[in-house]
Amino acid sequence: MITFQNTRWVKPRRPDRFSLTLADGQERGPDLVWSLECKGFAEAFCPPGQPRLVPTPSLFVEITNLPLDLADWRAWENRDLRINPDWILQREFITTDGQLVDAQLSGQSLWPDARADHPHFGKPGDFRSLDYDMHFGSRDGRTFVCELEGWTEPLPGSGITQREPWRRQRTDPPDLCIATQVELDCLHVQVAAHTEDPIAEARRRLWQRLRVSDPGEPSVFWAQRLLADGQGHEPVPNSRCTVTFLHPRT
Amino acid sequence: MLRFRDQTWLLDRRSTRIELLVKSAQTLPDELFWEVHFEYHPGGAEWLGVDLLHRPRLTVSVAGFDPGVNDWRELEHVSYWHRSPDDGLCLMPQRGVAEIRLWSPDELPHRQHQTDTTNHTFRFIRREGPFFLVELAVLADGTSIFRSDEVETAQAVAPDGTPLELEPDEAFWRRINPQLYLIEEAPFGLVSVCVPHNVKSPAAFGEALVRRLLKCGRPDHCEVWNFWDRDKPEANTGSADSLWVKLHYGGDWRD
Repeated sequence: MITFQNTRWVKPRRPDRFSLTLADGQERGPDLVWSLECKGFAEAFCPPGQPRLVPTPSLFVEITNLPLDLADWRAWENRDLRINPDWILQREFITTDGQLVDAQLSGQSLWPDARADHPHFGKPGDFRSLDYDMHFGSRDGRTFVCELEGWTEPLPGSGITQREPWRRQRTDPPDLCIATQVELDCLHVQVAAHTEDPIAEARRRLWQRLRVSDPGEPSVFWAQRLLADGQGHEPVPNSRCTVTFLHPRT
Repeated sequence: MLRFRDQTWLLDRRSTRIELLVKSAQTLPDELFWEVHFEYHPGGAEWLGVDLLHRPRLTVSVAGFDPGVNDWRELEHVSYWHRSPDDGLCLMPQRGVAEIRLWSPDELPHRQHQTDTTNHTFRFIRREGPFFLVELAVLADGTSIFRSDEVETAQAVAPDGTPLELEPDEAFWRRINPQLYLIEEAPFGLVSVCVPHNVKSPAAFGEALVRRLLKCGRPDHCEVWNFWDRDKPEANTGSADSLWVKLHYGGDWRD
């Protein structure tokens, strides 16, 4: 269940997605970041025991590039994190891919245009948070119980009512509350160039770094190069690549 | 770590690297065009929550220095830390030109503030794999600050805390108050080679040339850029410069 600004959102049956990215050995700075995606449908459009009404207002919440150095992926179990500006400022950095690692929570509520009489319909609702608490509970296989409380602010141009700028004091109750289950289902491992067997190397590093023994189905994404005629790109074997494992059995 | 205008700066690792330009197959080692390039965005509380596209961008580079090396690994011994009194008289001194550019997204598109100066000093401190630890100071008044007694008794400290003896440290530079001071790691990342049009394999030719000049190994990644337009031969005035091979080393694979 999600509560966001006094609206309740029900969760799909499938657990939410939880993933990690492990940088190649040549990276300077932290090499491990985590991401989480969460989805819900407006409760008023989901009558119990019946198919949900279409179109259904949807809510997406995403945390990208959360830097947390763990020696074992199971260490998320029973872990509390209090993310706030001080926590972020001690850890923010830019990766070799040019991504800012700042643990920002971002979200979007989608309200279809079908019912103009509803006050929110037809309005985008983009928001973010730099101030949220996470509690990871017990683990079942690769699925964790997860609770989150966040203090959000609208992004510029968002249809959500403008509020005070992002605050440093938690004076109000949280306006975003999530109780869900997250499933570790996607593992990205960057592998340096000229690695003889990138998949084997990625498996080895996942075991060595996070004690992942069976990471699931692999696929390799090579760096792209410009064709000599300038008309497009092609993958470059033996270059740096990313090995992605889906549905790990851990 | 960069100290510039009392601002916290985040190093953009995507664009930070040592680059080399080989202008022709006949280039000699002392005719190579070297550049060490750093890129930053402001960090800290006032920029929290602002994405990188909407933050200013600061680039600091030293271009055209002449290390005179025959092996890229020898860069770790190159130092322009102690300058001679007549350094400032040369148009292009051996230590190259320091270029500082600041782009502000709030101003006109592509507006930049630029300073080029030869009033700087820098050195390569050590190498770890493809990464070189580089120290650079850009000075407000270079001629008056190099009192030998201060330089010889101070200590420098690497980012990991390793003391580097008998050289000026950050405290020294704070006291001297240069306009800009940085100590960062930069990989030997990109070599751009201009190759003749009639070679069988531009990539192999460029790789062999760089191996001969600087004993570089196999690149991580290679791109061929052909600026020659077969359909418009009359427009190809610069045919000699129109075929380039870009060799990426040290994990670098982006332009």
